[in-house]
Amino acid sequence: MIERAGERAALHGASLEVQGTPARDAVTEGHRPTAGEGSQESRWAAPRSTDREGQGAPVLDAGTQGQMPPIADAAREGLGAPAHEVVLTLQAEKSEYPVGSFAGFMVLARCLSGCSLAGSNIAVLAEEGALLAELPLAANEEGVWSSGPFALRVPSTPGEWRWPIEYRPAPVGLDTSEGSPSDVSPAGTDVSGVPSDVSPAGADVSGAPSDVSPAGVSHHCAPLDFCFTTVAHRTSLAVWGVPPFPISSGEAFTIEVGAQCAEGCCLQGRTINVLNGEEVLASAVLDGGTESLPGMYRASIALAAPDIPGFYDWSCRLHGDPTDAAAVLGASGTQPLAVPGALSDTLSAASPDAAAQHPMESQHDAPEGLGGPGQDGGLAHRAAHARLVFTVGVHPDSEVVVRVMEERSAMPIEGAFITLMAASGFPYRARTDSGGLARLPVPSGSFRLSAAQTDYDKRQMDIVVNQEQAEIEMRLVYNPDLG
Amino acid sequence: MEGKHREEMREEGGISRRSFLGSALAVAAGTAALGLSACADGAAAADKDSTAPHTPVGMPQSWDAEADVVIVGYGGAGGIAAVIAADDGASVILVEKYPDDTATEIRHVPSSRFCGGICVCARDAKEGSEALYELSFGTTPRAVCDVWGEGATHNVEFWNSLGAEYPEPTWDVGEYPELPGGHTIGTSRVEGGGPRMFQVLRQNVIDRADKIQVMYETAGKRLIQNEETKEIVGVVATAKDGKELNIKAKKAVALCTGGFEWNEEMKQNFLRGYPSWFYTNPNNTGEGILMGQAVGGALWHMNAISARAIPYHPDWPKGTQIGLQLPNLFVNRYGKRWFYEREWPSHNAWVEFVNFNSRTAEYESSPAWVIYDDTARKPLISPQSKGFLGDTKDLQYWGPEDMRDIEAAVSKGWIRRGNTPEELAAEIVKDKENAGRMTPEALADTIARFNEFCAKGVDEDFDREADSLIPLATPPFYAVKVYPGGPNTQGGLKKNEKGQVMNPFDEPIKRLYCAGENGSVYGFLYPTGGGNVCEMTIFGQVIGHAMAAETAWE
Ligand SMILES: Cc1cc2nc3c(=O)[nH]c(=O)nc-3n(C[C@H](O)[C@H](O)[C@H](O)COP(=O)(O)OP(=O)(O)OC[C@H]3O[C@@H](n4cnc5c(N)ncnc54)[C@H](O)[C@@H]3O)c2cc1C
Repeated sequence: MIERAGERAALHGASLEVQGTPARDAVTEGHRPTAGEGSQESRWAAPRSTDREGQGAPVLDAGTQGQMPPIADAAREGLGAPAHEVVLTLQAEKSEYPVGSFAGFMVLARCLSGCSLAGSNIAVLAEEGALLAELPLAANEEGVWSSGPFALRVPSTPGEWRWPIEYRPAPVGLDTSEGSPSDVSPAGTDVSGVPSDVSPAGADVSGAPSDVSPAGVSHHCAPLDFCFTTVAHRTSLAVWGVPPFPISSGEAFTIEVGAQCAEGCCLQGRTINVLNGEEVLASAVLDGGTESLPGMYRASIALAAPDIPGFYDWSCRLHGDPTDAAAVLGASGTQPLAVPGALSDTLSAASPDAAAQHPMESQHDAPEGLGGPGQDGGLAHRAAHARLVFTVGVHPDSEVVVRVMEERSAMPIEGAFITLMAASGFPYRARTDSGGLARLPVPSGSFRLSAAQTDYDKRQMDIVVNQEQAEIEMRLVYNPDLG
Repeated sequence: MEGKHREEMREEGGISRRSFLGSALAVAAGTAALGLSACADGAAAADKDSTAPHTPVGMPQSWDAEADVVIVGYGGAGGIAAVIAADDGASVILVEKYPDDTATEIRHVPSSRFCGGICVCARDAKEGSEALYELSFGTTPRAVCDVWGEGATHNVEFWNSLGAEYPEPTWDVGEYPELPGGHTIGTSRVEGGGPRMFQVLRQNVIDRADKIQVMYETAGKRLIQNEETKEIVGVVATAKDGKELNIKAKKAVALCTGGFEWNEEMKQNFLRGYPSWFYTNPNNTGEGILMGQAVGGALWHMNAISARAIPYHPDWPKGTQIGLQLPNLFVNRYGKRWFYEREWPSHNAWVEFVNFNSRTAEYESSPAWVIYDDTARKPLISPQSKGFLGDTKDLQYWGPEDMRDIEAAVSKGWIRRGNTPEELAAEIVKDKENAGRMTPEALADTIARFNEFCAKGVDEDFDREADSLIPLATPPFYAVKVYPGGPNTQGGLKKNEKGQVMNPFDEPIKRLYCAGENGSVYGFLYPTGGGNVCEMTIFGQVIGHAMAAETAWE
């Protein structure tokens, strides 16, 4: 997971690209996450309630201050103080991340007295003090300095984390007039272990750095914590191919199960169980997936219908991984990796919604997932369940053959939905083929037969089915919905 | 063909079988003659030089055009009124915002021209009247309902007298058969739909070129009112070159400008929920309603629309119609079912989408999401969807091509796709209007519960019929965001049984009429697809006769 050395340089590039993003607007938009674009922006329909729930606000203002105080007020506060105060604001996408994924964020800094912060850096530290990344500040809008958007890989074990963020003033004597960050050495070039290359500006990483600016003014800054949680990857299942009519007692049937990791990890080789309550009825191993359903890993599972007719509510399960750190295969601790690149697009996008759009996709190519091609990377996955509902009926001794055609032209109607409902009991269903024909094996008895298709008036009739097979013709009136 | 019909009508003295409305009209003419009320501006008029010809207050010094009857808006209502008035002997000017067609392009595209062409009919006039009264929840007076009920028994006959080929209606197809009079509703649809219906009407207008002048690319702006007599005597309109024209109407003016589907301010103020999107012609911006309001016209039926659930996307603002295959399911913003969605194609299910949650202060079900699976993927767009794409010869389809191309639509976010219900929800929440409301668990639970009902054949939550309970299971799953909207608004100027625009004290405004979507008779529920063509057909005739029967003020 820390094989992305070399991208560090690009990080600086990325941060420079977003100079000019109006920081204040971005913060404000964090409280209005649903504002639209263009002419739609003012539409009142934009939902307003989400921030209360804390959901869906893609930009999290985790700063010590909600907004940057205006310089004028701040300068007044600063009068007579021994050092100028620098205030940091953090903008992060969210507060919960899948393990091993990338957290994209941006740090804004402002000297309350309006000083230039050119040449200063922002350092992100692991909780125990190791330097994770150091980023130069660049002028963003008047008086606001920005790290630009950047991304760090979060720990690969589930848990709660606190990453202190510090302001590191420009080294004494550095010419700040240009504000060029190019000569600030990137931090943590040794990405294989605990970063050893601590930038010269950040000698004091434990407390609140206080330094003297080139102009002879010292700056004080309270560090900021980026608090977040990491969670096991969400997985989910689809179950299909279940007969949409009562299966005969004891008869064999096959279902398809597909499993997917929300982060795109490979799930090949994992086991799917079919359960009745807690009893495991069948198991199968997920295959390598198909192109038509990217990211999904599949298994066909053969089952036998129970003997007693009725409604059955079974389930399919993909096991989760144990989520305590020690148990996670190949857990690699919290060594992060500063990752630049695509995430800058998301964070620098004018709309915070856009930031929520593809935070993960931009970081790795589906379907390889965070674990890399063909593996789950040892990252923890949550269990997934899906219901498997079906009905069991008595063995059919008759067959109903329905031919559906258009009323006037007598052209066959393909794909029409045929339903046979008994007064009590479960429905039998089939769809017509290209010849407008459907065959439904059913037990003898009385049924209401219905044929329906989009753009046609549905037709129903009551029929009595016995062993003699007869073809029933149903003509549907073409009556498309045109208004 | 059209020529022959015209001949027949001439032979019948221009009255033909349409004379059923005659009795309503005589009264209208009488009312107009009474326009003598004392004028508060009389003093101002008296100040003027008594030797100069007297120009009443509010009247222009000169006129740019004149006719007996001036009709603003040449859609179905305006066109029918023009033909009728002309046949009754009046000269007519039709003022129309759209340009005329060219040899290669259809450019004059009122909604009437690309609608389905379905027309509601009534088997029995009395029952028809009853049905309308019930559907409008009593907001449409009995006298108006009576005219509608009577007229609706003659709709097929009327259209065929113009040269259309409307077949015998299919009866008892109303959306509310259980309401009093409900069984009398039938519909008839001309082969070729709205394009054919309007082609016939246009030909009838062209055939009366000696009587009817169409001023294309001319937009009605204001009514001219003689402030002394309070009569409406003309229209100020803006021509293509920006010039303001004073168009004199010696007998009457009609506002047949359609609804306000493209006036956001009016929609926001008047409709039951917001937003809603429509696929009508974009010229229907409610101007005729405002023109009528400015001279004291009362409004009615402003919160009624005939609508369903339609997809909408800002980069494709005209809205479109979708024809969904089974299986499908509607869920609200939180991934939950909330209504009997089998009814969604009706013109009244939109009301279900504007249920407001006062605690969260939002419409929980607007936008909602249609969920379907891979088995319903291909025919998402009904091949019958019709509409107006722009300046085009093709009046057949107006959804963007990309909506039919699933991959393109998915990449644009118009259609969301996920391999599992949870993954679909994860895509849906990326939509800025969903913004995290729908959880993967909620959508997965809803679909699983629905599939349970499908297996059992019983919808325990909303009683959807067994034959529409088709499970959604085959991946990938799809979702399309839908809003209330679709065909059109119904509100506008309040009219009486003669089609006269009423003031708030229920008195007719002299020489002012309206018909069609501008103040239709539908006060709440819509009878069924075809109701608006029915309205414009009946009240187009009513006002055509009534205006021609007015005595010219000059
Ligand atoms: C796709 C679609 C399908 C439909 N299908 C059916 C159906 O099958 N059956 C049915 O009954 N109803 C249907 N409807 C509804 C029906 O078509 C309309 O309600 C009806 O045609 C309205 O007729 P109208 O004459 O009032 O308005 P329109 O036909 O819309 O005509 C209004 C005209 O006024 C013009 N205008 C507007 N403002 C001005 C101005 N200021 N100055 C000059 N001109 C102006 C417009 O340019 C337009 O030409 C459908 C609607 C749509 C959009």
